[in-house]
Amino acid sequence: MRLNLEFKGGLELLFGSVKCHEVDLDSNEITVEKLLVWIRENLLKERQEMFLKGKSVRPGVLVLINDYDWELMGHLEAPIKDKDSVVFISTLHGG
Amino acid sequence: MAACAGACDGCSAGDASHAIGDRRLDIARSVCMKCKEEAAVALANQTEPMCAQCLRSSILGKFKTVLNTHALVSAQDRILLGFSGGPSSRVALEFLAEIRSEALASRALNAPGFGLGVVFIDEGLAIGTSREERSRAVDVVEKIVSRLELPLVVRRLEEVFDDDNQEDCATQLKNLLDSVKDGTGKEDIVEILRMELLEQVAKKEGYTKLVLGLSTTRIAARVVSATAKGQGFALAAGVQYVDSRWHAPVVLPLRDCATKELALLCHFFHLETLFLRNFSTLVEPSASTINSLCSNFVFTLREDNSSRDHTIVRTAGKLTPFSFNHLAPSNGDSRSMRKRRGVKTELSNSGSNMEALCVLCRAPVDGRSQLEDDPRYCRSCTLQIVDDSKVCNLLPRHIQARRAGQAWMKSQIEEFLL
Repeated sequence: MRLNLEFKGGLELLFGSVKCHEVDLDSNEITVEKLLVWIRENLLKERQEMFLKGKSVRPGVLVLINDYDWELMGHLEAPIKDKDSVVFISTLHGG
Repeated sequence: MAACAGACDGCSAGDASHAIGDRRLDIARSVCMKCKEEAAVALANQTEPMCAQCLRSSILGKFKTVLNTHALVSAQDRILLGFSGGPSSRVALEFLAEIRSEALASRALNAPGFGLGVVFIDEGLAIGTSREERSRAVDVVEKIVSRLELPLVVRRLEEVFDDDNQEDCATQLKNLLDSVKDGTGKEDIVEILRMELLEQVAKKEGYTKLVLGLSTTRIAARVVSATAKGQGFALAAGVQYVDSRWHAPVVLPLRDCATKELALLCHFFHLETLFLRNFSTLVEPSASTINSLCSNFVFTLREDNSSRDHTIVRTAGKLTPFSFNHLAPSNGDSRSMRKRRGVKTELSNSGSNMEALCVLCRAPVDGRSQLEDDPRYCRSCTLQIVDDSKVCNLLPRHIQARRAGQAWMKSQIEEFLL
């Protein structure tokens, strides 16, 4: 499946200073938890503690799936399908 | 009426309802609890699912409530917004511009609309950002502010040294920061210099109030870090809605809003923000400063219960505020109007409570501190920044020239000084 990933609020620094990433995954439907594993293994080579903490994202990082707060979608269990947009926004630099 | 204003791929009102059924959501939480019509897109105010429009109304409501309850903005005011590019100050910018437009459009005789301007402080030299990145940042800020048709002042942090020669300013800033070995101290001194410069700009350009976009989350982090730094005596001073220690009183209209909500607002309504590095960007947790540790701590606390930053701020708010945490009594006139007319600002109300302030960070100085301490500085600045006379001598000259206890008093009566 094809996904549009976006990294904002400074997270882009961890991904080659590129905010938008169009990616291809083998599965048809996964959970956010599995997506994070995929990101860790395929996009984020280093400084993993800046983005991830355990199975989840680092505290202060917002996750939106098709512009819905993942907290309304089941958090780590939220399902992700083909052509979904997942946006990660770091709020650590609040300003 | 799609949540994201229909501007992104793969999302529309039709998709939203389809997606909700698909995701087997708890039906009770899938609809905005305020309007009960639109699909909820975010969890705000800790437990309230809201649509984007209601989220916006909720935050704008809180913003206006703070301004109105504390009578923070009158038609005679000239408001200066400290814009950092981040989501909080971006929301403050948007709302101030909107409120001002409404006031201008209103036919009411006594509402000609307050003055509004924006200031951006380029701290790139202190942080070590490249010239290109600094220039790009300023371009983005200019674009954002010019679209709102507001005056913008851009200053470099090193200008706080008030030297005609730009290179000398830059050297002085570098020397000062190099002399402060402690990471937390560096961050704190940058913040102190930023406030000094903001005050200078407000004074020079004739602004009467300074608005900062500090959110509940950021203030909570400050409460924790102030506690860790032993700044107990002064803690109450920096957590209120109003802080009159400055030439233009500082006002925090976003004090009741969490950073998360402000960031979501910027995302849903496509409010362009700017990410700027600070000292703690990309620094590993083990090398963190007190400030970033406390910030991370507050975010971690919010994970299980997103009301925890509000609780921290509410608790700190129970400490007795200082006299300068209120605006001077004005009888309908702003303080600056009274000064312009030669009316002496009444000091009698605050006279008996006039606190001596640290000439560096403006913290009230605890009178019980050790006799050998330099009375110009609070305990915290003494320990964290000034413990070295070398550092003292590298501070901006106008700060060094301040006499003990002068800062607060002077800002009250300086127009009467010969």
